[in-house]
Amino acid sequence: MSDEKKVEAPRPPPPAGPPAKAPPKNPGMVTFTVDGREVVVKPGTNMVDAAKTVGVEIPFYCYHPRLSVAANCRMCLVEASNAPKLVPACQTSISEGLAIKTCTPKVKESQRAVMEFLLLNHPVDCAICDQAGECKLQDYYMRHDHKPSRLERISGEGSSGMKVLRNKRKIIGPQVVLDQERCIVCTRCVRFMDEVAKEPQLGVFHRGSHEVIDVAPQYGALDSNYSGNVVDICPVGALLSRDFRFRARVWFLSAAPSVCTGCSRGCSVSADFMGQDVYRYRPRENEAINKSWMCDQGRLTYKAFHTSRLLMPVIGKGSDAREATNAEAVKYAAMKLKPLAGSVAFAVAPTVSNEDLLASFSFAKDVLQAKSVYVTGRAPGQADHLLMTADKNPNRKGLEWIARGFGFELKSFADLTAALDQNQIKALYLVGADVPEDAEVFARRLTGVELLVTAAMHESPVSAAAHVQLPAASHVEDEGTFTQEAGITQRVRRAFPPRGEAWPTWKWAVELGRELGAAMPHATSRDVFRALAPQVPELKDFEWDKLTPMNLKNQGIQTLPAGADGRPPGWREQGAPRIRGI
Amino acid sequence: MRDLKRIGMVLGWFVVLGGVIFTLMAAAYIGAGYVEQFGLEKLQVRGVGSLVNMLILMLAFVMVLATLLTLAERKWSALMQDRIGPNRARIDLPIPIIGPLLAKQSLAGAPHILTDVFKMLTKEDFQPAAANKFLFNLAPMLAFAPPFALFAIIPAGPTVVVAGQKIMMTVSNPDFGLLYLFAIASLAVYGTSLAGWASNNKFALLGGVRAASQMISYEVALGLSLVGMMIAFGTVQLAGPTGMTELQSHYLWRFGGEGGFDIGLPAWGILLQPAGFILFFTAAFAETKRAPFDVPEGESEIIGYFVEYSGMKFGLFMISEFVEVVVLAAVLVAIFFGGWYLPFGNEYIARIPVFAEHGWLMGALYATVFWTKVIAMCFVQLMIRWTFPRFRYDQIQTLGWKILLPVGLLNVFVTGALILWDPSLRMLAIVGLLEIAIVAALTLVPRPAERKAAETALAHAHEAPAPAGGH
Amino acid sequence: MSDHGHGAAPELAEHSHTAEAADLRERLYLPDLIKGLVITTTHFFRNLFGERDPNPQVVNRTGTSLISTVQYPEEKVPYPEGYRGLHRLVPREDGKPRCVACYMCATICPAQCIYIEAGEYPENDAAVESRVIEKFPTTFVIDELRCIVCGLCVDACPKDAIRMDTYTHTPSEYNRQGFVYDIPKLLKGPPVTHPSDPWFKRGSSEKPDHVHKEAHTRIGEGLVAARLGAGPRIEVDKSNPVAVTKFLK
Repeated sequence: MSDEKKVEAPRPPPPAGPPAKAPPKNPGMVTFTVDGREVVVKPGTNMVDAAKTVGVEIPFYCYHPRLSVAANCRMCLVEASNAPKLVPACQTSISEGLAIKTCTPKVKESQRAVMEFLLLNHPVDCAICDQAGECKLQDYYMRHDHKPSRLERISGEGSSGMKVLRNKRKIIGPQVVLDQERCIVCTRCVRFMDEVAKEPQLGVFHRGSHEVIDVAPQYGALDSNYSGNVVDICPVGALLSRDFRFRARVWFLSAAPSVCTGCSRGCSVSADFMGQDVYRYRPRENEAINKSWMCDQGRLTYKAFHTSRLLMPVIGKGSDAREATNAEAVKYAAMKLKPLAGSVAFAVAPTVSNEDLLASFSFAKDVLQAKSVYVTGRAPGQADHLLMTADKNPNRKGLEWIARGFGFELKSFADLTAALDQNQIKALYLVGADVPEDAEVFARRLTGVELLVTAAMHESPVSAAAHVQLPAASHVEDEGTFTQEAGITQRVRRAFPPRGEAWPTWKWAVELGRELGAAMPHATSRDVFRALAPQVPELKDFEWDKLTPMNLKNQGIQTLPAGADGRPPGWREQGAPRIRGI
Repeated sequence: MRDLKRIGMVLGWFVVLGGVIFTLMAAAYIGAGYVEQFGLEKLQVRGVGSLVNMLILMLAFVMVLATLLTLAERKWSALMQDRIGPNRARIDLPIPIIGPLLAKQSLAGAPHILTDVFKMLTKEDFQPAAANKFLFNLAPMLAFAPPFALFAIIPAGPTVVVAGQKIMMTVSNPDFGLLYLFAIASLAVYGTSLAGWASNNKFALLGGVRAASQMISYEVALGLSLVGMMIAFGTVQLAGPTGMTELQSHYLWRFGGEGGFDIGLPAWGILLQPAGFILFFTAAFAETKRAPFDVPEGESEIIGYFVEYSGMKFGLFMISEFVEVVVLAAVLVAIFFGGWYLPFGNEYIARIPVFAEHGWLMGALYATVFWTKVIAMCFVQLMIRWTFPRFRYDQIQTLGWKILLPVGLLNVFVTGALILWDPSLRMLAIVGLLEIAIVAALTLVPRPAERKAAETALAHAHEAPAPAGGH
Repeated sequence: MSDHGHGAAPELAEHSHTAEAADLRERLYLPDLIKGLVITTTHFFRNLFGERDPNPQVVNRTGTSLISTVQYPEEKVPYPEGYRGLHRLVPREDGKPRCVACYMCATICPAQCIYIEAGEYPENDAAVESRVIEKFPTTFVIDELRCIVCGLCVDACPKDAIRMDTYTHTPSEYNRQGFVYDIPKLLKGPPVTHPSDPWFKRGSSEKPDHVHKEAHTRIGEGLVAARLGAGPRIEVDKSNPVAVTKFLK
């Protein structure tokens, strides 16, 4: 208390010269005060991060915790007790006994002046800017400035447009479009490409008010596999995703914590969705797996949720095929499977969640009396230097664990094709229709099979060869877990109910098992995990309920389906709209 | 002056209406005369002519008037409330010239009658599953028939000679006259209570009970209120040479016109028995179950005894209400307003040779007078229905038992005493005129408080415009 | 009766509190009854014999007749200044909508009756305006049945692209689909231009050629005058429904 008073005492300008050294209050740590509140942090922490630990927000643009510090936006200037001038909070490490103030008039005036400076030439075209709603410039403008640009203001009648004009629509790569007018030259993107992606494709060109970000001439285009991340880290609307451009306003979207299923890296992502559509993936911070980044290939895998989905169960094959209700399909499949029990082969693609696998294995073991499992899945692809792995199946590790836990013998895809070619397989229960060879070729191999039941998400030649096609839900349509290649298990949350009549794969297994007389009382994926995971030693200790809680206050916009009268859907929101100023 | 054009038009329509009535009644007289003659000569049966009377009076007048009243109720109420009323239904006939012309005319809303009829006839005839089918179907007939039958004893015109036959413009003229009226009127209660009970609906049953209790309560006052008139004229007949209509044409005091145009004060019931008139009007109004006595069934607010009825069965209930209005008007005219007679000049008209020669001409003229009076009384009833707020149920019973009944009794005693004192009815008329004068005075002379208020308001108006909203 | 002496109207309201016991005359009921009848009868005959004044300004009616009804389809009460009528999408001079599909109206709409899908003008679009503003609505739908006519969309619009100055209300339709107004139905009325419109500042979304001019300010000066000076602003005619202009995309 007395120490704090001593620090507070020299209220008028801090004394010139080094402050009196006090013994560290907490040995090994650094103690200092932010706005009068004492903070204890590790040595070397900068002011922005340190202040955040006690909830004090210091505004910044150019600073990014995972990039080098440039300190060029000057937004984070704060008053420090050991400096006569304002210091950049992102660049300055804290020292013992330091006192910083973030809301003095001097700081406020500095922030306002920086905001005005940044916005001086900023085209206020928020109306057509995709960043609107998640734009730091917008947020800070409302919080710190709230004044029109002087260039705009002093223009006389009939003449506005004294701002510097630059290229507004420059397509700089397959994923990214650049608007140089909106750019505030914080150089986050340049530093990211340089330091993280290790492909210095972006640079700053010209000087003064002509300064622009552009593609380095030797590269020609921003074609790195990590170019999407510059869109995420751009604090303004200068770098925008071509894929997401103009497709939705961000305030209509809700985020569901999920994982990318593009490869076995299993990057944590937020699936931004509205209604029953996912609009984009954004990397979600996960120190152990993907830091704050993800690759462009994974970023686009969300499209699989919408394209060529199997939405209704189909029973029968070829010309007999007809759409059926779920209950009908379960009955039909059970009727067909019953006489073949014991001779049904079981094949699984490691693209489904652990819950799907647990329930399917349980079904295969108890009902189909299978002893071995054929592993299908996507063909291996390219790996790269940062995140992407060669194995494109997100849950191979989980499959191996669960197969071992259930005492199944793992057989390769080659074994499956060999068995099929020798007509050893009379009936096949296939979870996931992805196969590592050409689907048409594999479908031809399946012609000799007496009964093929697939629980798959997409229409494909493989599912077309099935006698019973069961539509499976995607992983954003149900709760679940995925285990990535390093053995880290992650929860995914349900964003919206499954499209069409699809059920999660585990539910098909459970319903089929129940129809065939097995005791499978699971009603949710949580039940499945809690009942069956104890058999798998690696999953036994996983705390299913503790990870990534959903934001229950903002569960997302529930859209009404377009009515039978043909009216368009209206946006129905739960709770108050999350819009500033309303 | 655009109003003049409209006044002319409205008066013109009045004349047209009178002409229509005159023509119809002339046809009734002539038809009755020749049919009677035909009956006498060919069938040797007397009284066939009254069949024609029945057809024309019942179908052409009572029914049509009741039908027109359904429209008039809406149109007149609109005029009273500064509205226009129904005028959107149009008749669009596929005829070259008349069709488009007709389609442009609102015809004062007359096509709405047709639309109503088509609506009633084409609506689903719904029956509650648990209703008593027989009684459910019987109830609307029972509600409709009695007011209709009531009209049988009302004389709509004088007795004249047509085609050598004496034609009495009434369906029948029984000796028991008014007693028939009371008897048939009390039958109407069966329709309502049966409708309420047979619907198997709690609300309908309650409505039926309300209707029954109200109608039974007022029957007492209804009968009692006419006893004064019976005493005064010494008869219960309406038509005929000794009927009430005929007796009302006599002058109480004659002011002159001997041999010329006679003028005097006729012995109309309203002058002899103003109290009896009010009592009868009130009680009969309550019997029709119309506002302000519409507690059994208030169109928009009170679920009534015919809530389960739809289509033409509902229509029967509704039209019976209007038939009651017409019949009540006719009864009032016959008993209190001198029947078909004009208040003066009757002797003069009787002496005109044309009328003496062609009896049907005089008959049609007087019948027109009768129907004009009836329409006027219908108008008064509609005025009352659209002017006064509904009585509360306890107020209805209080009015019936505690006011109408004692006043009716008193009226009987007073009338009896006055007749005993002066059998020439003049004393009765003096008392009656006195009563009218008192009511007129009470109406016209403002109360002291009112006068004071008016003066203050005037003073305020002179000082300065009063601020809105008072103090 | 109350003796406050304020005419008849206030007394009605106070009557139940301050009325003395009804005197005999009041209890007799007949005089008041007759007075009431006289009032209705007076109205009846005035309206029966008086010619109705068809002046749609109801308060200013004159004549014997007291009828205040407006015969709607034939007689229309003119809408007051500032009436929020049927929406319109404001066209630019070249007939395309001013709308840039920013979703502000859809966001603010409390009835959620606006549905928008955005598209992008190609970089080599013929119209300067299109080249400059990039974004446009491919679908712009207002469900007029859901609309509560609050006018918030007009307030929210940053581009003056949606207005409710048509001085008509939503006409009736035979099916619900007819109330769903799309761009061809909404785009009507006189075009609107503002000096601040971005196409007055530049010719395309490219970096302008004359950017190296001194102090790179004053760009576009003269451009505005040249393009705006063409004609006066067109005022909205309130008397008739505005004519529909064809949507040229």
